[in-house]
Amino acid sequence: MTAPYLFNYGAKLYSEDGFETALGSEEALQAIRFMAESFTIYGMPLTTSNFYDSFRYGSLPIGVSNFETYVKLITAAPEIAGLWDIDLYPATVLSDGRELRYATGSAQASIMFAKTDKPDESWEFMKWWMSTETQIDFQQQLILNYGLEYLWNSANLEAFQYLPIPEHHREVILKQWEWLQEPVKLPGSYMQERELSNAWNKIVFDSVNPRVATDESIIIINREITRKMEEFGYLKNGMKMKEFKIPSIETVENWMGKNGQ
Amino acid sequence: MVNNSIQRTSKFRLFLAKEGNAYAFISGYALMFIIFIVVPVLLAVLLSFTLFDTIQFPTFIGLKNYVTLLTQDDIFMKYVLPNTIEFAVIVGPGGYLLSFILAWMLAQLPHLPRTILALILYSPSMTSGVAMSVVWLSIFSGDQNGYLNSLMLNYNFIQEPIQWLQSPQYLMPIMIIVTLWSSMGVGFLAMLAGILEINPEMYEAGALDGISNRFQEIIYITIPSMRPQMLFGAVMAIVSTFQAGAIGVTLSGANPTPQYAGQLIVNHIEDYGFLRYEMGYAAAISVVLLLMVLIFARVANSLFGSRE
Repeated sequence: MTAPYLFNYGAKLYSEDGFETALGSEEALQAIRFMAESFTIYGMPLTTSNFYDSFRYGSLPIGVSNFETYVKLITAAPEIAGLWDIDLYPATVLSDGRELRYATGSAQASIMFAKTDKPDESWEFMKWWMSTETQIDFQQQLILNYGLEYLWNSANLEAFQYLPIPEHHREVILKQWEWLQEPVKLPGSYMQERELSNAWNKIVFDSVNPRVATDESIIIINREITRKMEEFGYLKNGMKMKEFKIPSIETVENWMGKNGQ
Repeated sequence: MVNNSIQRTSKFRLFLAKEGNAYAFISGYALMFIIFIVVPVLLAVLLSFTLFDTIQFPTFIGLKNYVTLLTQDDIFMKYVLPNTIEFAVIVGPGGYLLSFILAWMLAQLPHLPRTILALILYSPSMTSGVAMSVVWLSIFSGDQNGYLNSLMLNYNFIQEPIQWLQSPQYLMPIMIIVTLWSSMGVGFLAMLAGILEINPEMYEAGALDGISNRFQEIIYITIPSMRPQMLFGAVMAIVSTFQAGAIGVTLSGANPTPQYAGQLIVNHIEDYGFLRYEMGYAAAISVVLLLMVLIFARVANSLFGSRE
């Protein structure tokens, strides 16, 4: 939940080699400061007990939420049907004019273990499962059998076109899909999310200076990353044994371009 | 030779005849106890000396986990241990005292009101899951619609809603309040039964001997007469207090709780076990927890145990 703030200020999450956090950069600090100030200075409500309920009753006119809320509003709020709409994630306008509106959104993935003794069959299975016809079939069968509450959106872009939701909603979602980015997972990365939330908590509730709170968090995150890297054999007594590759959007595009799939 | 073998068989047969039935009766319970309690505890102690990431076979590292726990784990020393002790000291004896006072007051009532009130007081300990989401989260909700917040906003006590469950200074007191509310459990019922069982002639004898008020009655007659129930209640209170952990996570909605404000020792074990996949270290913490509970149970035993 804190990741989009960092992405949209152009901040990197981790250092180039992946062994340290990059929260000390200027952009990251700006992102963290904005995250805290939206609540302390600009008065955004810190908790919303039930967005779906508040939206229906009209006490909250606007919000940022996920697919689950969307399905609830489509299927279980008939009295406001047609009176509401969705739009892209709010963009952050940076000083050089770029408008970034990255958001997270991944849910599931398929993996194949390297040591499997059936690599070809597994690959065929994965290709079949992710193929457009199978995904369209599955999507529509769910809704036919169980009703619109079981709306399930495929990750296959072409199969997604067949989702039975209003046309303009589909277009918005497809446009936002281009702005999908997930935080990188590396050993010890859970600490970053945890310490970011703790830092936010300290700034908002204990009025700690953002730079001070972030510095304390950086020490803790780095220590945890080092511990885990040692456990997995990337570091030994402080010396780097192996390189850790951090995938980024360019890397993924590279892989796709190479295999042509 | 034939005589010896006959003697040996008949000794065993004698033994079987005398005590075989007893052993047969407890064999079922003993089997379950060994499989589900003794074996896991032994495994936990064994695992605490290893490095185990749940996927590869554990590697033996000796006492390193314990050394790390005592010297390098600052979350444990800064947040978990103080939180657990604060929580345990207030909820343990506090809840216990509350149970005793309520049980004593209930014992003074006639039969029907007593039964109804006992049911009312006991039900929170059974319904904690449902009660949690419906009652407590609505009362302490952080937006202006939460009961406490909207009440205080209406009367102008505060200008903007207080984040009861997210702010580090309020989370712990709220955890304590909610746990005290749901702590009238089996121990409470046992104490109620204990008080009702006391022979009323003892009170008459006490009055003859010069007991002047009810408070003296409680100290000199009631409590000594229900030692076993007090011990039972104390042990239940201690064990359940140290095992509390889910309450912080349920109330604040985040695991671990913001700024580790509601982090108790059970949360710490789960953190290392399930979030960081360091099962050996988690096992070491759980052995330390076991030792703490054992020590406190010993203390309770020396206070309330039978003296013969």
